[in-house]
Amino acid sequence: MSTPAVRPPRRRPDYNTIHAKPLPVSITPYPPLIPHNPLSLLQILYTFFFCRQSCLPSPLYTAKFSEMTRCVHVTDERSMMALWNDGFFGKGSLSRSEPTWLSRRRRELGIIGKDEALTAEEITERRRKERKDFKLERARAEKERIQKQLEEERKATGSTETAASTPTPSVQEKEEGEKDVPVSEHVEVAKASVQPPQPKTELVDVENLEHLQLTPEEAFFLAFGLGCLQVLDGTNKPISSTALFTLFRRWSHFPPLPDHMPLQPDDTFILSYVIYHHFRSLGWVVRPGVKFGVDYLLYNRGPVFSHAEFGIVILPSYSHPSWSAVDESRKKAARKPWHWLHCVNRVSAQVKKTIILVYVDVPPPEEVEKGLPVKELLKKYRVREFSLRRFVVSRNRD
Amino acid sequence: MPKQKPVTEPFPIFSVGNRFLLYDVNVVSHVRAKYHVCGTLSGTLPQIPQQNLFLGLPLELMVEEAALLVEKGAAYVVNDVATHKTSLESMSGPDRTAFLARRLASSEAEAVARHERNFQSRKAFAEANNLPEPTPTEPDMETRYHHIKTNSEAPYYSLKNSPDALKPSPDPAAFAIYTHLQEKGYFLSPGLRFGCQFMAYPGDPLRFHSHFLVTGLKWDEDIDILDIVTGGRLGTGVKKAWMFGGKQGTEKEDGESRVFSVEWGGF
Repeated sequence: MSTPAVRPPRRRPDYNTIHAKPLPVSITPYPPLIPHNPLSLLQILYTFFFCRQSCLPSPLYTAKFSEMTRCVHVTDERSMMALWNDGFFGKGSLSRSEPTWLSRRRRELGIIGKDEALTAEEITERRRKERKDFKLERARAEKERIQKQLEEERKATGSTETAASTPTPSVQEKEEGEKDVPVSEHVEVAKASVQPPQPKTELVDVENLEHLQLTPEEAFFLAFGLGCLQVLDGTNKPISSTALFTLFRRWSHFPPLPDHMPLQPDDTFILSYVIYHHFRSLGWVVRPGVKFGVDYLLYNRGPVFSHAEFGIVILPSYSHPSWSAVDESRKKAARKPWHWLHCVNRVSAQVKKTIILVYVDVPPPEEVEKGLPVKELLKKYRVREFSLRRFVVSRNRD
Repeated sequence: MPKQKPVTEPFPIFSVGNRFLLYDVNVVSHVRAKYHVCGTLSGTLPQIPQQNLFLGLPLELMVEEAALLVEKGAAYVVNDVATHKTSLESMSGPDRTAFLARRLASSEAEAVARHERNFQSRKAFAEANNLPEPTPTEPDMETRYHHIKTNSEAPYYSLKNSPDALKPSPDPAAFAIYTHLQEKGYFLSPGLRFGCQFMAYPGDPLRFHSHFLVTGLKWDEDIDILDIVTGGRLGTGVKKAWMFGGKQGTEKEDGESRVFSVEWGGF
């Protein structure tokens, strides 16, 4: 049996330095205050008056709201890099998460080396291929072993029985033929991928066609919560956070709510923003979780460091007494069937995540008067979390 | 295997606290063979109420199953508690004395027989070991008991059709897809543990694995994209397809039924 080839150690990029900042703002701490050294106080005062640096980037990152994709596009390289590296905001429009289209394209064209600056997608692809090859190899070895065993048995009995040996060669041939199929395929696959793409006659560097897409919640958190992003309108003028808030709320409906219709206190945007802001301010990296059937995924430090630990499901809650009189249909719509919970719970158990049901207490419309500042409005919302786990009797013994 | 007794339709479905139960083993196999209704066995041994495997009678029917049987005219629903009470109370004086006398007689006979068996075995033991023969004694009539035979056939009261209040009322969307798949020959069982409304088997569940996890929706009900993702992932994770569907028109009308199945590709 052949032993699987030893993989060369893969050099991972130094994520700890690349993603050192948890958010795209920079903080300069004051010098320490030493009580018995009055000079240290002077040092602090000096820093306070003369060396104050803004924690915001200058100039601010810019983005534009796209009505077609209902998300906020960041096109300039600097903002894209910063927003992804510091806090894992957004998603590359042509990539799985990190905007890596450019380096993948460059590799295809032979501008950068085969193993240079591997992206997450490529690493996954390679790992899958390796695994597939290993399985094929294992199957082949197994077949060979059986073949050998049969051969030996045939030799042992063949000396006494001559009649039995006649049909065996055909069987052997057939097996040989079957066996060959995966091997030849395997070799072909390997060849195709190993062969370096022919470098083009002139190595023109490619233009980056990718942009970073921010969800409205992310964009609003960056613009309103941190203040490091400017969302521009059609005439390249920055939109104020109040106007942005209304814009996103209107666009969270389908079709978008026209201007004359009143905004509801339980807009999809407002609910998900409350949750987004809540978990971001608790230090979690919050990313959309559609692929696991949840609203958000919570990462401890970021997707490059570890898998998401929790899946967030947002549930509006109309527990304020004045809702009871208002309307029953709204409550009914928020009530999910029992089997839905089992479904969500099973799916997240499959991917080893814990579900957190997050209830957002929605204030009644009377309390959320028009013209209330965003900050005051958000203060009216309350968040309650319930963690939920599937209990399998035989597997949860410890 | 005991021969199955023929079942006369309509047979009663007993309703206890909004659950629909069948007590008679003949009826249970009849509905399984004829109507593709499997139900769920729910009876435990009396001393092991926490038993959760190898359950026995009674068979609990889903509300959709009960509704289907009632709709086809094969069954009617009776309120088990009320019926039991009324039929007990309606027992007349002579009937009651006759019943008690019968019970007393049978328990006395049982006690005598038991005493006799006991005596015979002691006698046999004495003979085998060359001991003096035991003297016969009188059976003790004070400690006799009555042995009630359990039966897998329900004692039928003279029951008439159910009052309308007892009609099973399933969720219309779930019932529509239930009947649609039933007509196509599928066997359906409850799917709560798989996170859906029903599991659809292409034949008897004893012979086949289920192929679909089924969820019924109203014709113009919105589907959350997250539900499609979770459904698809869930189905593919257990090597089934997640299915959803609905029926056009209201409950009574004969509208078109449409179903779709979703699989998680994971490109």
